[in-house]
Amino acid sequence: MEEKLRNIIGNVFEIDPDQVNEVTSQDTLANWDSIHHLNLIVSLEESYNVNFTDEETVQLTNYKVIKSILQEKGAFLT
Amino acid sequence: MELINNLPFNEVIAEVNKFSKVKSENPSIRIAVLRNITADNYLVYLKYLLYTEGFQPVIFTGDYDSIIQESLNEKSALYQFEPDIIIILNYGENLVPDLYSKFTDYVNQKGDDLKDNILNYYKSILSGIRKFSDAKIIVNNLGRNMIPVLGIYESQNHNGQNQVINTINFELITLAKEEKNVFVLDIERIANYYGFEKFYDQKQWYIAKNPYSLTGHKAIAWETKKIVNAINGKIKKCLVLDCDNTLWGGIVGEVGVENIQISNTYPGNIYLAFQQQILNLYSRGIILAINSKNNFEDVKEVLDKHPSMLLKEKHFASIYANWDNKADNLKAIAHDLNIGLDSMVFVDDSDFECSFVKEMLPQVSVICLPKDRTQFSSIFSSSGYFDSLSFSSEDLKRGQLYRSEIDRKKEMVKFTDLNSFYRSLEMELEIFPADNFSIPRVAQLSQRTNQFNLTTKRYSEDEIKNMVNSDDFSVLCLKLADKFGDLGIVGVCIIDFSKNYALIDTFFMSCRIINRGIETIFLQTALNKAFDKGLKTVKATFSRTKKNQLVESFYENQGFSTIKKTDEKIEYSYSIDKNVKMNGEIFKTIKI
Repeated sequence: MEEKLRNIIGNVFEIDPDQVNEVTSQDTLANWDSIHHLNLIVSLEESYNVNFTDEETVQLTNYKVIKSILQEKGAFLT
Repeated sequence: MELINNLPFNEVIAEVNKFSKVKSENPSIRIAVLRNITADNYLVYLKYLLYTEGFQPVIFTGDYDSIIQESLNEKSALYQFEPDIIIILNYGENLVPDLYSKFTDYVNQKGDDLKDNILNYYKSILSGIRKFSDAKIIVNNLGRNMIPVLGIYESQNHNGQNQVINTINFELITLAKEEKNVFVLDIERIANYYGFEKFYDQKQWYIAKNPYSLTGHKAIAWETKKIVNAINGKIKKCLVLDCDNTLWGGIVGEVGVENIQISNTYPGNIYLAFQQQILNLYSRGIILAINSKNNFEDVKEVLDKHPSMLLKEKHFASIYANWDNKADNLKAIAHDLNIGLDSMVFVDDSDFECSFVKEMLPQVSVICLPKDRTQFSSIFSSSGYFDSLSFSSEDLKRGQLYRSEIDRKKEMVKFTDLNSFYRSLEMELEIFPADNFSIPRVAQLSQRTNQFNLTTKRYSEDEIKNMVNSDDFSVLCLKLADKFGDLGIVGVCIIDFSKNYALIDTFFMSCRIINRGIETIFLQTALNKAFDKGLKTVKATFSRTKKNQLVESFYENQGFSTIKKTDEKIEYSYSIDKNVKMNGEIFKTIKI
């Protein structure tokens, strides 16, 4: 499920996409710092062709929120 | 302009991670990046580009907004790192906020204070670095201010923000020349090329001190790569060009010299503009050469006689217009000019030729022209292949120098491993008798095909239909698809069985597909057809026209014996004693 999303997160944090799941968050990934966060945001915006508001940008710190905001914006999650 | 093959940023990250884990023999290049922005997106792109250019980048990243501290302190980590190149990335709005967002106080004195402050700043970091390091320095200039505090009044006087920015950028060039080995990265131009809204990312600026969008970072990294290549002498010397549909529109061998597209009006104006770009490179000292599948005489006639051509024979140091494969021709050009294959750029409109050259000669850089021809003229500036950091009066003469050297050596070097390339194309060949659907196309091709055409007999649809319906004739169609797409019907063979031998009445193929071993299989199919009918002899004719000297020796090369030879035609015969076994190993599928 959501292979593309898990790949993106895996690439950014240099982990196996299979390890990315519903509980993945800033608390479970040691290297989720501000730089990796920036890389994640621009990757998501580019790959799903969406724009996050500034508030969303700082909220996107766990898998569930990322998924629901992307869905809200009509992104096609595969 | 298409940079980095439009690879999404996320995949670029993954590629860089992969590269960094592989041990490589490539030369390492030590680059320090000093910055007053969050530059991580830029660094990802820069590393990726340097890896793919064959470098092994080792990067030092300075602390955020510490350019002065790092460059003026001999003991700083910057100098301990011992960089080959120091890149200074300054975002104007962060460097001089007053100049961008709060200018009103400075209007009356034309921003003189701001100007002096900034130029002094540049002067002290550049001369400071020079005291402690011989590294090459790349420094960006200032982007324009797109939200002027004076509104439209900005453009009505000489005191506006952008006037000050222009002056600073102008003076920065002077400063760069005063210090040795300082090169300006023109962010002002790149930002204008993409446009303010695409190049900058306000949200990332406010949240993360990251002023540029991915497009912006990518473009700045691309420009950096061009400068790094030029610094390291990785510059191309020779531009090798295809002719038909590259230098002009249309196939000269088919339409004739007077009907090729090159003029002031569409679509000829596209080729005219493209030729001007090529001529500009010639004036900058780039050697030009031709590598095309044409009759040499046709190309020469276009160069000599076509009044609209900007490029003439004298501009080309080497011309290979023949029917050999283009990789062999490139090797011959490199040999003639005594330059390395890695200093050549080859340009062609055909996907086939481009991937053929990439496969056979990976050292040669290949530009495959975009399908949208209106994009032709920007490809050289965006590729950066010919970018150098100097321009001399010698450059203007170089083309002639090379030209005088060539005629001595003309030797062809042949490849041994064409087959692996052919296999990589995944060609699917189909040979089948013409039917009602294919008759119009067969007739059309018989009208139009000139070069690979043994008898050049022109047939109408009705004539083809009669032969298809007659037991005395066999009309075979050749259909080809490869991994680039379906080419449709590209060859026709008509065999006459009405006598006690088989006569190949017509045999032609599209020039696009010759030299792939297809012509042999097609002919063998015809021979087998005759054998299946119990015939032991196949006769064939080559009828000479002005345009088909390409196939003059075709039957001879296929093992036919000459029976009668006149100026107009050559008659051949071939004895079959068994079904010919076809060598189809280079094709993915053959359907007969």
